[in-house]
Amino acid sequence: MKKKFYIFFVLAVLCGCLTDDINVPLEFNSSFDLLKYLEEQGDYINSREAPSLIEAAEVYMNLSHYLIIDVRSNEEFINGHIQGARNVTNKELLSFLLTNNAVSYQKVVLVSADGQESAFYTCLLRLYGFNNIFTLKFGMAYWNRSFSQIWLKKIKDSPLKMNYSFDNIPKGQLQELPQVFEQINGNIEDLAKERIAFFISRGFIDTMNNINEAEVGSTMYFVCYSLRNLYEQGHPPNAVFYLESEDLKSTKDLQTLPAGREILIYDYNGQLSASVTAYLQVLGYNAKSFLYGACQLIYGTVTGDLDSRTRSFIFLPEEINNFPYVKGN
Amino acid sequence: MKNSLAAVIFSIILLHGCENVDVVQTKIEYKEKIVVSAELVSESLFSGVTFTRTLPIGERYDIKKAEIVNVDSYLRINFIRIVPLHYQADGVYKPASNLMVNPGDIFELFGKVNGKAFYSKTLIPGKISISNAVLEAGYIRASIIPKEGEVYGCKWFVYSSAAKETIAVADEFFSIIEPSELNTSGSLTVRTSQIPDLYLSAVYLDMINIQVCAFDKAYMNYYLTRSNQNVVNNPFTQGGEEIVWNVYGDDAIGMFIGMGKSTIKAVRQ
Repeated sequence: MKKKFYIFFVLAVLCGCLTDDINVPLEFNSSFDLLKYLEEQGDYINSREAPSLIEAAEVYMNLSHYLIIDVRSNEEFINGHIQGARNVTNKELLSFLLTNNAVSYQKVVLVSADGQESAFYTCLLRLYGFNNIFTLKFGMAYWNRSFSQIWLKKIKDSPLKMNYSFDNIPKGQLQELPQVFEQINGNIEDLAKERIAFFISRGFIDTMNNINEAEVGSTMYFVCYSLRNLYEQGHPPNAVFYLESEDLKSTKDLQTLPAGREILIYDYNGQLSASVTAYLQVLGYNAKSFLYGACQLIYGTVTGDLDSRTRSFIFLPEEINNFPYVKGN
Repeated sequence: MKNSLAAVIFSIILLHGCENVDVVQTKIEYKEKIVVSAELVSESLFSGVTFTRTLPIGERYDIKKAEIVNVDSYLRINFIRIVPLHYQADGVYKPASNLMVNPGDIFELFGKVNGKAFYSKTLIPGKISISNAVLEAGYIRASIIPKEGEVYGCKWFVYSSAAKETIAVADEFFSIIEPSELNTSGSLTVRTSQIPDLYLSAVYLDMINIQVCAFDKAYMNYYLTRSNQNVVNNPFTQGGEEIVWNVYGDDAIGMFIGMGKSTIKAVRQ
């Protein structure tokens, strides 16, 4: 009996010694680390650099200085391309840049048919760490009139424009960040780069070209990622406004995006939305870019009252260049 | 022979005895701690968290030696919004962009460095409504409507609106009080420390103001224990008690505290 009492006494004393340990909640997860990593790399999508467009005139003046990479299909490339451009598929894009010392070039210009796909890869490559990647604004469609049809047939007003709203639709409730990795095994930089490489290789496939707006309103979280001016010119019902370079910051409204729902993003012309789509996909969101943006929703409205800033966002037929191109491989 | 041997042994014992001076060994073990410091001021931009380490006793303080540059840390606001913190300089970590500290928000701090984790949580006080700031008997007394989870302290200050500058300000709070000390009207009376006679002269009387500070209630325990572990000069007191911090974890100390400020001009009674 005495022995038992002695044991209890010793245990009680030991327990007393242990009560100083305070249980610290370990709330770290992979999403936090990934978000932190992307912010540390310059928070590209929330910086003024995105979507890193470059004018055709600048490229033309620097053909011998810039590395030009055409990401269109080989068939399109053969049909006509910028002199000196290299035709590289998205699957080979990253290894091409790594093995060809892309960082040594003043600028690397990605060229696509309409500027949408190249904007997607430009964002991913910027997130990967290439700070000299740019997208040829409006792609080959602005380089030479021979390639403009892809854009010209898209600039229009939506038949449902008369139903568009001028109301400010509130953003969603705050939600948890998407869970990206089951657990972090290894260095976050390596994991992030592996994930970015995956999306480059997977390609620019999460897009919408035509929308049934009624359907979009009910099943998707429709985001107008732009300047307030665009939103106030009328927007599809249920579209929620996010101010570009601002509202997707971790300190602002990033977590109002729904983690478990499709997010459809539009801007003035589809290039910024392609860029944002890339960023959100890396973060684990189910994001899609609405191709050509407001230019295929309210073209008449956005071209009706152009100031110098918005003018640069809109595809304008009178501004299509006539720079030379070459055919063949 | 015997005598000389005895003399030698005696001398050795004697000399050995002379050398046997008792030296008191002061063995104070140094254990490095992570020091967290942040003031989250309501309705202003978050100014960052500082992560430093304690330095061995006697070592001259140098921020370059004290700062910790590899802390993985995040804020979580209202248990949902995640805001990563990034190292800036001199141990200061900030979000990638401006972050507003809003009244009523709950901020949590998560940190880990070199296998050690730490945590803190604080409430950002709401707006303080001050009434009846009266200058009497050399100090200012004011009434406030207290809120749950907050404690209050106040300071006098002399402000010249003509020169747009603060001429003088109290060094310390007179006290920190809790809402449990409510008076019958449901308000809480706070008071400043004594204002120096110089500022009670006619020249300054119209310039005397009160600043009421609301803190997360965790500040109370820190305030009451903050003098512990200071050098004890009075032989009849002891100073060895622990300071109560609101940062918890592996060898972590410090305060991560929400506060609000409000000022009002004092009226002479």
